[in-house]
Amino acid sequence: VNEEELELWRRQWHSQPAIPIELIRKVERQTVYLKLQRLSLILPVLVGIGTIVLAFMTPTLPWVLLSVGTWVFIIVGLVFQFRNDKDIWAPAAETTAAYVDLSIIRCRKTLNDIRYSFIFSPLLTTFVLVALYQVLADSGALRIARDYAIMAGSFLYAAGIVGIVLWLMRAKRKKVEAELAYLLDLQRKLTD
Amino acid sequence: MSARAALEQRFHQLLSANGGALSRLAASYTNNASDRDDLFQDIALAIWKALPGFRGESSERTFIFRIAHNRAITYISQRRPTSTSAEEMDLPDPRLNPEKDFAREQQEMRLFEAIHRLPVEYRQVITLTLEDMSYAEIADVLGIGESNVGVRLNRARQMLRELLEVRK
Repeated sequence: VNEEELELWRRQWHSQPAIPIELIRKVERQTVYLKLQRLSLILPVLVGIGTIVLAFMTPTLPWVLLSVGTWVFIIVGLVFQFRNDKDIWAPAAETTAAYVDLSIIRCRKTLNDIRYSFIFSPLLTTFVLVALYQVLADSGALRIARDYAIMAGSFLYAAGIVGIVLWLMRAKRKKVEAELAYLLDLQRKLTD
Repeated sequence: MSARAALEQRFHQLLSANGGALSRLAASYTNNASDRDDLFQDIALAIWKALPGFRGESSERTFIFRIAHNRAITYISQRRPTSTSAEEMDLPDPRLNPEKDFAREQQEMRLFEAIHRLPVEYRQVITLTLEDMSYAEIADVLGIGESNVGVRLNRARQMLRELLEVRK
């Protein structure tokens, strides 16, 4: 029995799966990118702090509403990000299957990010533009037709930018979906 | 062929013949792929430096495993210790996804993780045994007596059995 046990361990020891180095490198690159993405969350917080400062300097209803609304968006965004980033940082074990699992989780995270952006970006843009309009109207900056035309032009410009970003994200979504399909297929092959 | 070219050829032959075993050895001393690659590089470099001084007093395999183990011990002593004593064996379970039935791979991983939890003196003996080394070779690599190898191996097997039993 002892020799059989040792022989079994020996076989298992020698068949430790070698994880494809490309897969490890890709996951490591993604980790760096995800950490940078996490750092970029500082920007909206700084913007939020800016709106608080402005609301204190000009304590009128439009500024206060702009600040409160901005923080609502920031908090919703942060909660979504932290929940969506669960389990994305490291493989559960040093195996090919675990690396594939992690890549699948990251693809799903990216798809969730994109779906979220499709809802969040138009809402945020609308909110900022409406709030900006209120602030400008309240401060008396909009007096003649030309001011309104500039305002409308800015609205259209912002909407156009958001449209382009969403169109690019749609293309990215297709790419990520294709990668996810490949990884799910690979995962099935590993379990067979 | 110049002496350096001959040395390089010998070095590459040694690495290609023992690369798998050295990689497994490095993995048994480290916690992730990146550290394993680092240690493997360290071992390869140490072998390269020591190779010109090898006079055939032992087999090449014993020679490179001795270097590898010494390098690995230096490596872990310079880093946060993994499991170095029997008291430290009760580590939390790694996160294995229960929904996935990677049965074969998980069995291999269970063995690998159990070995990783062994105190270093037992881990050395069991990994060399699993690399098909004889008592005499292991004694030569580790610089201990053959009877000591037997004692350590028995204890290592017993601990490994217990660890695998607990994790079933």
